[in-house]
Amino acid sequence: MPRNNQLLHFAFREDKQWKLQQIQDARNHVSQAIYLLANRDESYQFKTGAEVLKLMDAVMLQLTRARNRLTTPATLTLPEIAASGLTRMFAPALPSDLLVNVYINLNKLCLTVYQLHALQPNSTKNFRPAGGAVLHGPGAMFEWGSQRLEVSHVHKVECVIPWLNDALVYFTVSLQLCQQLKDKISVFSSYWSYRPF
Amino acid sequence: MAGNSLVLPIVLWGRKAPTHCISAVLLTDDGATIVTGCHDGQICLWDLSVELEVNPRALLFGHTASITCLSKACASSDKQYIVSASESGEMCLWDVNDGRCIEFTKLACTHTGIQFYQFSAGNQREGRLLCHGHYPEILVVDATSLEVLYSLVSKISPDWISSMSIIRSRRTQEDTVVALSVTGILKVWIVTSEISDMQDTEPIFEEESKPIYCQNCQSISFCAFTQRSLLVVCSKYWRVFDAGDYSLLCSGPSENGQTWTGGDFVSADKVIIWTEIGQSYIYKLPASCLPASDSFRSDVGKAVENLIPPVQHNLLDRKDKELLICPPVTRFFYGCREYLHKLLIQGDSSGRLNIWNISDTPDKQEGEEGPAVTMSVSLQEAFNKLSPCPAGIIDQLSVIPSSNEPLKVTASVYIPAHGRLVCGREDGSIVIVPATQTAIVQLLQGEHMLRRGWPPHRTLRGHRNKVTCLLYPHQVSARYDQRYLISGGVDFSVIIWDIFSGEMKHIFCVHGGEITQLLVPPENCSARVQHCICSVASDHSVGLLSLREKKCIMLASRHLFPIQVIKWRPSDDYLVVGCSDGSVYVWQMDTGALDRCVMGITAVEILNACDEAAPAAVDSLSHPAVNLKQAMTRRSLAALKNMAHHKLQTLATNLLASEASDKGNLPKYSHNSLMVQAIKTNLTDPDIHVLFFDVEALIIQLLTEEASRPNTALISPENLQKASGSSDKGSSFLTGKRAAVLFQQVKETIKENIKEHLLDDEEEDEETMRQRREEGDPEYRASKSKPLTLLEYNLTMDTAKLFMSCLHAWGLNEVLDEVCLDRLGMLKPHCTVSFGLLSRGGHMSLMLPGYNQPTCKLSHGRTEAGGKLPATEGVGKGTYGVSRAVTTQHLLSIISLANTLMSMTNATFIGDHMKKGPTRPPRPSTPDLSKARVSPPTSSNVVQGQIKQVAAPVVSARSDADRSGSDPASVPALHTCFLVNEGWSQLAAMHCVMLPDLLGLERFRPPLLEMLARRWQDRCLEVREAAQALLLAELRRIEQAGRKEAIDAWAPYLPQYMDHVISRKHTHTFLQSFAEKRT
Repeated sequence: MPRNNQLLHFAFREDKQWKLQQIQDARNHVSQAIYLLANRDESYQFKTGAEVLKLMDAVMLQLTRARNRLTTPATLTLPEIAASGLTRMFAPALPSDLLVNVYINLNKLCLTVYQLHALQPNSTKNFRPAGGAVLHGPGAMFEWGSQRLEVSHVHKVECVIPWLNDALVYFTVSLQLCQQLKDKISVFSSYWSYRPF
Repeated sequence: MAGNSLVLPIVLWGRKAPTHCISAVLLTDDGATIVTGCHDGQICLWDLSVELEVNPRALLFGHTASITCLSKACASSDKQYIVSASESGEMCLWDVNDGRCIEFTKLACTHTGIQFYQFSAGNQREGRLLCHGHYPEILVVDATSLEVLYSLVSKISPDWISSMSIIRSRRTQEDTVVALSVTGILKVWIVTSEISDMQDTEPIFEEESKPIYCQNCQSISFCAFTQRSLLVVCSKYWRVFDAGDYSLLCSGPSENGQTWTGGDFVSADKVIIWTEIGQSYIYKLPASCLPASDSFRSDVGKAVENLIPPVQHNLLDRKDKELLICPPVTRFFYGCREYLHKLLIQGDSSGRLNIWNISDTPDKQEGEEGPAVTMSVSLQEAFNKLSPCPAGIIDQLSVIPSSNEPLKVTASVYIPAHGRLVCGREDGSIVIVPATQTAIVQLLQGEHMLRRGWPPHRTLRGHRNKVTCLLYPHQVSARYDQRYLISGGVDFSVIIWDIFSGEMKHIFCVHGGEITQLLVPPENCSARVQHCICSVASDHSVGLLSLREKKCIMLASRHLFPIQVIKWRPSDDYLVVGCSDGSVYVWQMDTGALDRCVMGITAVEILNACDEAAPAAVDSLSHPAVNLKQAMTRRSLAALKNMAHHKLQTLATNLLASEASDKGNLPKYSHNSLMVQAIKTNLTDPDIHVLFFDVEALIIQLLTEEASRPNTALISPENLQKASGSSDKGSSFLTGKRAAVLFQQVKETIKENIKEHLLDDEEEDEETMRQRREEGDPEYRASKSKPLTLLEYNLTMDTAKLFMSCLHAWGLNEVLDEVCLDRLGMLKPHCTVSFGLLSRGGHMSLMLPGYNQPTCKLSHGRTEAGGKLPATEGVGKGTYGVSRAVTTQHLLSIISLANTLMSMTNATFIGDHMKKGPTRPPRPSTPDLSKARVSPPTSSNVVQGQIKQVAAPVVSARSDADRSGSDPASVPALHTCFLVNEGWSQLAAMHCVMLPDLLGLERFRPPLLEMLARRWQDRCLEVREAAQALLLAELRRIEQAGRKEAIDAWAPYLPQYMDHVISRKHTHTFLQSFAEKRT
């Protein structure tokens, strides 16, 4: 990690766990979808189209949520990043002027490092705390404890993870399958409910 | 309350009950109300009597997605608050008594379970909601402000919490939260320790984390009887654990491979477990699970298979085996305090509630059938048993010979400028009907009941089957031809109609699926697109249909998923389509080329960027409730009125300069007192019509019409200036009103010329159209001669008539009822009118038909006040026993309107054009002829002023119940006029002071003092006067003791009188109420 032309090395602490929440959420959504589908007996006969539509709605909601967790990383404010458990996950501990955020965006694992410097209390700069964002730019300001801080440098590293790519493709395919089933059923049900006048 | 304006909804439900696929059930602590949430986001309140009679009372609108959980949110017994959470992360706090939304919020994450918990530190009690859901923590939320205070966090293997229970131990005075994560790890947090520092926002870590190997946990419950055991229900088995060390006591398998969905303790030794298909089993626990027995914990540590299997004791099953489209929701509720039933309540997808009373189940032999369903009722059954049937807005015009059911209305749009409602029906026909007239037919008794096909209407036929959507583009933007009405149907076609001639102008057949939505592009699009409308179809295609060129200029049809939202980037010539899976398609409108297709964070950013560019052009199609919410915010009556008001003021000042230029767009100011909004709870349902009455606008209109009678003295410019100058002394609102009046007067003279031309053109169209119709009814023809003209002379009076007739408490004073019917021309309602209540942020509660049907009164007297009335007697008597907020609004409305009508010359509703028979009504060029004919041509403004001045003392003097009628005698006015005014004055007096005595305190909920006080300085003079009179009357009624109580209740909120430091809660509520006052 370059800082003042010197390299710093950090490693994850051995004694603590930290989970990438996006993955856990996606997994839980998928397992809920699977539970909805596998819950029934294999010999179960669906009796109405409405029943299938209702089930498909529930399954698709979970699948969409799962995919969205991977495609749309959470927008966090800088104090939220500072308060997150990740900050305390490193050995040796992170210096106080560094913030780290790790998230997944589509098929990429992203690491952002924010280098901070404290704003002087009598600084002429207009203090305006930054809102939530996936990636904060240099110049974003926030208040942490009693201190006012400003981001001076942002470093971002991305790494493509092949299985994430596969997972996203499967999500898309499964959603399309569900939608096609729904569309077919609705065509039939509007045909059956046709009433001549 | 909904802003400052006094808006009252009246709802016409129609015969088909709204779809209510129940997703959550709750019984309130007093046992008097069952609350159900449904997959479409509505919440239904059901009254429950001691005899377990159930009657649906109200439907609450506000959530945009499926309700995930319900919980009580208040510990005190005098108010019943509940909190609801939806799939989209919304949380809402409701008052169960009247369906008011007290607070709402939205988080990014979904809650799947909420439990209420009361912290107490010393004498201070704070309500908290513990929420869990699609996130790894338990959030602790303030139960009054719905703010997240802090969270309960897991250190070890954090994961989503699937269920949670709060354990209160009397022995240790220590409350613990026991939760089970989705991976089967039991987590324990201690929550009592932190009451000392309630300000603290640091997360709390768990005390204990123990894997108990329970997969797919459905529910966890604590035995309130022994306080020693926990029941954990998983989808394939259920287990009882010792609550002390969480060791396994016994385990039961699933029956016949069914899936368990939950369970609870019925008594110390019995548990009830229910399945996904709605069956419930009662089991007797083995002795090793009972702390009272000697062999308690004798099996701990043994293998699961060796445990003594619990004995199946009873089976409860649904009575009727109708097909369900999703698993029913079952919950078990203990009695509490005064309410001793043990009830198993089940809600299913057909909107049915099944209730079993299992308090006194005698011991039966193993495997025997349990008690039958004690009570079973569905929304549709509640609708069906009503007589007369719940009215739909055009039921009288939709009778089909072969069936009892009227044709369903599947789409509707209201054209306020003409006061017309356009209804598309399931047979493909479109009916255009005057909204007030048809509502009067449905709600009120009168001679119109004898006439078939009343009110006069027009039918457009063209669609081959169901009409799915309607749009009147001129209402959205003046750039469209005001003749055009657009309709879309299931036959894939979009049709342009000319509403004046009834002609079909063009049929577009460009889509490959039924049309789901019709929209209007924003103002700043290219000239070509400006004359288009946008159609969305169920084949996931979007079309831009040019009304001018009569062709489709763009068809965007490659979307894989249903279209959820359409947004516009006019500056870049982009049409942005958001699909239900989160992908976004950007189309170039000019070329029809697909510019981009993105998803993920970029898609969200693109959609947000459109919002920033044009906040008004957002149109979400995802859900009817969203549409309703948007409609309510967008067409906010207050905003509309302010705008019109503002426009009028500027117009009046520039009047002489710009007389000629504004002939095309006469202000639609005079038609905003009534808005009709169609809502659907589910896309497959027929439309429900809600009539929104804006009291303030109605008062302004009445006064405007009163002042706008031809009065030559005032129309000269000199007088105009003099008048507007003199009115400066009044409040700004009054100035505006006066300006409006003057403007209207001047307008009348200008209109003479314009109208002549306009009407002559139309007359020819009328002629051809009339020939086409075989109808020979003279009345029909009579009405045909003036359809949809720019001015309707009786719209305001009709609106007032409908509204007053619905509000009046009939049957309390026979003499007054006679006066109302004969002299004032009001009409009795057929049955109880379903009112609604608007609350914050577009939340709305609508009373269901028959909300006051007899459900016997609860012994402890906390049920609906109107409950015990026999059905016939229940007709009328107003809605003054529903809740205090409703009473306040209704009384304010009726008194302020009665005062307004009293101040007018001979303002009677008699002289309805029903009586005119075949004579053609006067041309709108002499708009007030009819009224002038009925009333003697008097009314100089001086006389009016006198009446008005007299009216105020009448209001204040009324409290002495001494309405000798001597006050108005000072006006040397005409006899009829006097009689009518006296009628109005009596009406106002009855509602102002006599109602509590007439109804009796049992059935009368007094108005809320703070709501009245807030209107003490209302900008509308009439509302202000009514509020003041009501407040004084109420203060007098509650006598000294009550007044002292009120002062004591409010004193803490006045900081300057406080010696000690104000408690946080008080400051909070004070600030809240203060903020509400400000808004």
